[in-house]
Amino acid sequence: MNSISEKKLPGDFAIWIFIYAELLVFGVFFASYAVTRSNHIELFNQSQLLLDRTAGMINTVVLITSSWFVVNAVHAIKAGKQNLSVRWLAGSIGMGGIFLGVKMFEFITKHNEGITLSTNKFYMFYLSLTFFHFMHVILGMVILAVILVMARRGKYSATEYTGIETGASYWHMVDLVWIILFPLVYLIQ
Amino acid sequence: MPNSTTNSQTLNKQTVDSQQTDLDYRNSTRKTFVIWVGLVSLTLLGYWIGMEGMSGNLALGILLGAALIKGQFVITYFMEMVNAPLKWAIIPTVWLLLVLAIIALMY
Repeated sequence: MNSISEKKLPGDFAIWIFIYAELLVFGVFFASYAVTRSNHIELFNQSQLLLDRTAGMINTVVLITSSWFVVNAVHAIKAGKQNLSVRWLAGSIGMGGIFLGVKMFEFITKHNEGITLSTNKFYMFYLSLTFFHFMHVILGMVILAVILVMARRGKYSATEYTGIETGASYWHMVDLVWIILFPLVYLIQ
Repeated sequence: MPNSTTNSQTLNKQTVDSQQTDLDYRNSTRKTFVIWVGLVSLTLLGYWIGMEGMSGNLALGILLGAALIKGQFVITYFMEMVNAPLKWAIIPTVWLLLVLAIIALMY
């Protein structure tokens, strides 16, 4: 918490290579969506109206909240508050669980409506993009769970918190990607 | 006697350090809370635009602008790129700008 400290990437450097690679993949996905939509505007606009935008909004708030919990977990461990850090981490994993539940509800609803990847181009993007992101949320939750267990065992302290920063950085990437995905797929007409 | 004075000074310093750490933690959570409120507000604004069925350049501008601000907030304060070297910190910001620019051009 020094005001004058050396500038460095938070967490392990290797996670940043992974994060930048993930951003590149999602970026290509988003650009492909936008380019494909420009050739099928009516189809995309009509199909998009059938999405559950309230579920999308709830999940955005949930993911943002989980990211906020995670950054507080990092700040707590830097202040030497291990128990508090564990509680923030548990809260963020809980939020991740809510996200998965809401998303599952959306997937099941669409499945029951007979919508699949081959229904049309919009749904091909909607299902593949959101499922791809869904898998990243699961991976992020696994990472956070490992960190939580380590934190409970006292592996992190005010002077050693690289592990928590590493997991937190990955989780924020998952949040960042959703911040683009939500307006792109659910809202912009 | 000098030993007990030194011990007392050390104890006082530890107490002051601990209080400062608590204060820093409270300030940082307050700051991230304000950012969280901003992120949720922009999300609700976007949702309202979507539910109202607004389209056109103004709606597009607001939605992409909100995504830009939200994304940069996450990059700067949640990912803590504010404390990272510029050459690495700039990458997610460039990614964000590029993706949003491509979307804007295609719409």
